[in-house]
Amino acid sequence: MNLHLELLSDRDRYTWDSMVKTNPHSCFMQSWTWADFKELQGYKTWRYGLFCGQDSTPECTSENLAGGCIFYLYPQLGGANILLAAGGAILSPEWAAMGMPLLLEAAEQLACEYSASFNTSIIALRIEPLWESKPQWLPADFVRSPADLMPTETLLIDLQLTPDQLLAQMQSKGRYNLRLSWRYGVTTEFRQDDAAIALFYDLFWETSQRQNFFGEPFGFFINLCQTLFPANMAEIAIASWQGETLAAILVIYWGDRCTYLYGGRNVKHPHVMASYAMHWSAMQRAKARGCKIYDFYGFTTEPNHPYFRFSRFKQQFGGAIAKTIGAYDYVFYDRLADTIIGLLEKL
Amino acid sequence: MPASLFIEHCPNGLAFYINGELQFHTEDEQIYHEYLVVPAIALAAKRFSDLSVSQDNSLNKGIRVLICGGGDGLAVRDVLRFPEVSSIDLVDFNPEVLNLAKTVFAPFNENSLSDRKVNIHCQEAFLFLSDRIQNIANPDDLYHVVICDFTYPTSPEETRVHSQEWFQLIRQVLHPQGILSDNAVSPDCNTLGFWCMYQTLWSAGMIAKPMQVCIPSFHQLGYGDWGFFLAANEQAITKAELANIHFPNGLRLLNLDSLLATFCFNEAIAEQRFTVNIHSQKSPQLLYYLLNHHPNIIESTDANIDFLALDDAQEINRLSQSWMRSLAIDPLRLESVAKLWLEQMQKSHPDFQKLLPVQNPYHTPKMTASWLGSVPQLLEQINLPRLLDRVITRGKDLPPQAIADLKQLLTKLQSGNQGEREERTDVALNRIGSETFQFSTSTKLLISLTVTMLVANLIAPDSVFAKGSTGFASSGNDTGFSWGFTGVIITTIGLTWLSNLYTDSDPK
Repeated sequence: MNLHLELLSDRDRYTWDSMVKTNPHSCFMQSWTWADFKELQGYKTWRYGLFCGQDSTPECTSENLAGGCIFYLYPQLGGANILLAAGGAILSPEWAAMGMPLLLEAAEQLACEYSASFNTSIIALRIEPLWESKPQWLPADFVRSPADLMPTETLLIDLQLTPDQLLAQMQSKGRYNLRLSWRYGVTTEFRQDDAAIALFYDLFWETSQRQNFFGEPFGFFINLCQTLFPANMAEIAIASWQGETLAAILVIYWGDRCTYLYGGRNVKHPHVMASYAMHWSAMQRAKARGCKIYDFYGFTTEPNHPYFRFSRFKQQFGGAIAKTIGAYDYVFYDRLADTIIGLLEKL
Repeated sequence: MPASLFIEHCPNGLAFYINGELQFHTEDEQIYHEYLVVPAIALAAKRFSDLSVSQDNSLNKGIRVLICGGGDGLAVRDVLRFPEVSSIDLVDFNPEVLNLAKTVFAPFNENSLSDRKVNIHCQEAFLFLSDRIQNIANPDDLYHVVICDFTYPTSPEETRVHSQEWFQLIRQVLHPQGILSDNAVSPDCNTLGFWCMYQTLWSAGMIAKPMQVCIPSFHQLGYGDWGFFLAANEQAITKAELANIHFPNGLRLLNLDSLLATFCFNEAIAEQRFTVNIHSQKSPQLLYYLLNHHPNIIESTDANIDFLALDDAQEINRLSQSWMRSLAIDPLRLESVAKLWLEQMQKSHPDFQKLLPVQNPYHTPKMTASWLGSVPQLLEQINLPRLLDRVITRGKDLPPQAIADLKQLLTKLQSGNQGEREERTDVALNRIGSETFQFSTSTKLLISLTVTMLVANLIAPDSVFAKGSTGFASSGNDTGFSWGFTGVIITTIGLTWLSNLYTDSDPK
């Protein structure tokens, strides 16, 4: 059997996405559309597919696609860069041990060629697969990253449960608040239009200021929604009460998972518990779209963690905590050495 | 580069965004375009009053205008207010924007792109000008007015059309008595970026006058007052000349008094113009200033400076003194940052914001502070003996003494117990605070490594902390050298210095 690495082109879009969606450790950040969005953000992307087969050059078909990785690079001339693979690499278990070295080789070659052509240096590859443990076959040179691109701990709701079962597994306070929101008549609508972006952003920005966390600018959400909406990969849910918009979230649909990525609410009418009605509706909608998991995207039980306050809210919905291994870096020592030599010559 | 176009339909019109940056809101875009267009064309109409448009409106007579950017057609609309204008070349690289101008924006730009005086070039502006210069056969081919109406630059490529080289190209296609009108950035929110553009214009040979205008929709988004430059190719623009220009009918806000007021700047803000470097393609400074704008550091005073009243010869004398500083310094480049680290290490209170400039539009000084506190974890990732080995093997062009220093460090790292290793390195390497401060190659290497790791981790917009993970590895098991290595680093670059740096930079 043979494994073959191929730089994918736009015609491979659906083949790639189908493979990523069915991989148990897949992530929307490895989707073709997400890569398009990141390009709008100024990133360069390289989309590699791993094909397996009997021949020395296996046919590039969806059946033969055994993995791959979309590499992201934010180029900065005269700087030092890290090649990123948020949510990657994607590897099917039987081919993982053989596939990873091929991807590494491609990344290192890419780093070498790009560094030489663009007067910059790519010193490392940072992967962030959604693995629950570090596999034996991962080369020992991969070391734990100083920072992650995604939360390593999250809370997952099993959408295969019936509504009654979902209610039953919620914490009693959460169930009470949810029913309260129903009694008050909080309504939720799901939108994919431009006007919803501004509505969402007002609430998101207000919340980021109030909670003192780092918030992405409006342009980020314009780019994100304008890329993901046409692909039917994202929606904005808006919760209203008596004509007033009280809360909004942005969810991503990918494979069997619906991920709550961003959200915000204003401080008006907290007693109507609009956020509860909204997340519940989002779960029901995700379920109707065929999702099996509602991912709260970030959770902690550590009181000092910046996510603790949000986590207490999320916990009201029950669910199970899931942990992944986080990001790992593979340092390209030759590239790093060349960078250091270049600096030593000028200092 | 792909662009995201976004139209927000509002009760009072529409707002248009490119890559998330507001381009105009129909409620007040007239203010922006009046200031960008009308003074320049009105000045040209006076200066070239002998160029009358012939009865048959021949395109070879009258004022010739070049608009770079401005694909929305709104600047063209205001140029067309002047019957003295015979032709307009509009250069915009984005066909989608041009298409919107002909459809969605047509009610607002009054179908300006369909006017027979308008020639549309869907092309990159730098290339257009380079080609144009090749085809200039006689003075009739020169433009009388050039209007630059570009989007706010957020990447190195986008700053090209604000470079010294760009304005030098413009000078070659502009009539000696011609006028340039240039859309800038906010003088109060991006003070240093604004003056960088100003200095760059002067350094390219233009005689530039800064302007600032309040545009409510820009203010609502926190953009501050908006800036423009009105510049002359060779003949300076004076207050007396402006006092004689003719304003077309139907303007919303612009009149002589409001125009003259736009050239007045608060003295504290104005004095900042001598502190910046010019922006060229070889030394692209503008992006640094735009990313590292540090708002609210300049306190306003009661005094104002009227730039129309300044002596131009004196101004260029003062500016030229600061141009010397601009040579080959780019604070976003690794080598400049590394040099700053070495300089700042000798100071008891280093400027941490200079040590690690903001690297991308989402990066903030607060993030820098956090990363400075994470230097030990960043360095623990690196297998230093392995790196040293690679540097020694690949650094054939390094001086022999430098190689010897590095070999000595490698030997020490590979030998003995940790205590012995630290003792030896402490003796071999520099001591912080020494009066005769000479950095060994080993220290330079460790500084270079620290800077490289920090910059690499901060360059991408994804390097944010808000994703909720503490991120840092809890053990050094993955790296063979872990805490022993940290010991070397601490000994080398100074625990006290680094920890003070972190404390000073802590936003809390």
